[in-house]
Amino acid sequence: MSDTIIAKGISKSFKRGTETIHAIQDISLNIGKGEMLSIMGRSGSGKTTLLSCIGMLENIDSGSLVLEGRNIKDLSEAQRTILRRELMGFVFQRFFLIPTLTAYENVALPGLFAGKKLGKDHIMELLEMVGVSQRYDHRPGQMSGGEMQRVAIARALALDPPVIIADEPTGNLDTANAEAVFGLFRKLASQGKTIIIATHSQKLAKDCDRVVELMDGRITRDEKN
Amino acid sequence: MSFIKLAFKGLLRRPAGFIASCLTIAIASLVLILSLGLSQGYDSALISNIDNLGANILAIPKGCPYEATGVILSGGNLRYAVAENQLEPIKKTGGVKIVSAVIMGQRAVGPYKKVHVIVGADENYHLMRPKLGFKKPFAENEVALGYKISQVLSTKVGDDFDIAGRTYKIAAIADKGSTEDEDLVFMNLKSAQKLLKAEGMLSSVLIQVDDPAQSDTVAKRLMTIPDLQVITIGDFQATISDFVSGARIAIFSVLIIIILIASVGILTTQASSVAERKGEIGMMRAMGATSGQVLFESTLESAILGFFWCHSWHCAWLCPLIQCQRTDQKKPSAIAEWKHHFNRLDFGHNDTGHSHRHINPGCLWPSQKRRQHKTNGGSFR
Repeated sequence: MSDTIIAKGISKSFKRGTETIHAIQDISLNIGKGEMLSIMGRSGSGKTTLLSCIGMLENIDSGSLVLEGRNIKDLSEAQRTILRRELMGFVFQRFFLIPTLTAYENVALPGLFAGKKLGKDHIMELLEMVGVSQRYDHRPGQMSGGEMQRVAIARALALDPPVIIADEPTGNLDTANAEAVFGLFRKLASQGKTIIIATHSQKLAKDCDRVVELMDGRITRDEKN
Repeated sequence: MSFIKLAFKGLLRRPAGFIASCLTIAIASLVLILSLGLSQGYDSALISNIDNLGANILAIPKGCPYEATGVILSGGNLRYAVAENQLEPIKKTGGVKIVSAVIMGQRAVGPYKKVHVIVGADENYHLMRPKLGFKKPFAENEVALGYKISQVLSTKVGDDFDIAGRTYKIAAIADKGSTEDEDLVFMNLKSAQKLLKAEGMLSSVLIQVDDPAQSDTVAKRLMTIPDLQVITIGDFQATISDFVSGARIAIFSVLIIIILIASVGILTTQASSVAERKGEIGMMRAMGATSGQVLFESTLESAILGFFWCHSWHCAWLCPLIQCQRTDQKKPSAIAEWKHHFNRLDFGHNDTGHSHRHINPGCLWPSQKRRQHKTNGGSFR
């Protein structure tokens, strides 16, 4: 399995007043293509920061990060944006769907930013795949949490990125919906997509190929299931 | 999906904030349009009225030129008069093409005895003011009515018309909307002098010159005639422009403040909207939106907000004007305000006194002041 993501000694800290918070420290991680990796840890352990750094939403302070063979330190902000658009799909705990847009329009949104017109069939196919095609003309306020998260997953897949980053995607869902959403990620991984999921759930983490545990910004466990 | 659609939908996210912003902008744009309209209407109506006067130069009795010109434009009694025997030297002045003597006063007219301005004019008046539509000079015992007064009193050509107990025959009615003189009663100069008990007196003399470009030169020659004050239309227009410019600066100052307030309104709404959508904006960035695209989307929302409501007010403002034109009504004009202002000055009923008063330097036209300044060797007396 070739490595899609290679992180070597990456660190990230934030200033809070006079205090410096070391969110992640000296993290090294290789993630292979088609691998489904779960990142676990308590709140404040650095899970979200690690995902943000891998997703180029945050700049790393030190270390190196290579995505699909491209070292992000060599890239400008605009190039990183384009690389993020091509490589990554994001799913968050709070869905972040645009409340005034329908499910269909939310899924079509990445195409707008990429300057590509996504076909109606493609969007409906994605909605069908996540099981909410019948809700294509509903706004987020008219859908349940599980349905919104499915739409968010469909949106993450709109540009067919090879990597999906999900930050506690099941945090706002009941058990049944959480399992269904997790099943979707499993299916995507089987199709060759690299899935990185931050989760608190031991049960769901066990279903992943690999579990990485963080504590105080450092990796304390890195095991294959 | 397009940025415009996204921006429109974004605007509908907070209906209350959207409406509040719209109202702020709407009020600001309404004030802007009204103020600009008023300023422009005031300017153009005045200039048009001056043009309709048909004269290049006005000869008036010495006194305040603002007062005199205002009375001549809107109708009323002047406190001082030009002696009729000054007409001959005016006519003989080089460069003068045609001259019309005018006397004005107020008398109760018609069946309701309402006081109206009487304009007594000589045989050249209808030639100098063709827009009134009078075909021939007014004969003795004949009157011509402004369009409005004829409508109010339901009179027509050939009817009898009572002025201060004397009966006259209506010989003509002025064309509709031709000038601002729709409330006036026109009559023969001699008859008017007799009626106003001002034989041998004139309120003003309208002068047309051979070459309008030489108005100033002719005016200088006319100034040598004693007890006569001369105003060129150029002087008057320049002074009006000065007034209007001053008013415009004041209006624009207020407008700038209003626009600033409206801008702060939009800024506040957009700032709270952006703060509320921090997560969504982050999501957009995660989806691959560049910071320029996010900024563009937000700016587009503001632009739509501004454009949509400003445009709606333009429509609201234009519709009545279009309607006015369709029904052939006169456009609302600021000249009414001007008239009202001068009509409030009570110049007395029969007061056509004599012209022995010195000019108050503070009451000179700016261009006259400049001329006097030059004459006095650079110092005001």
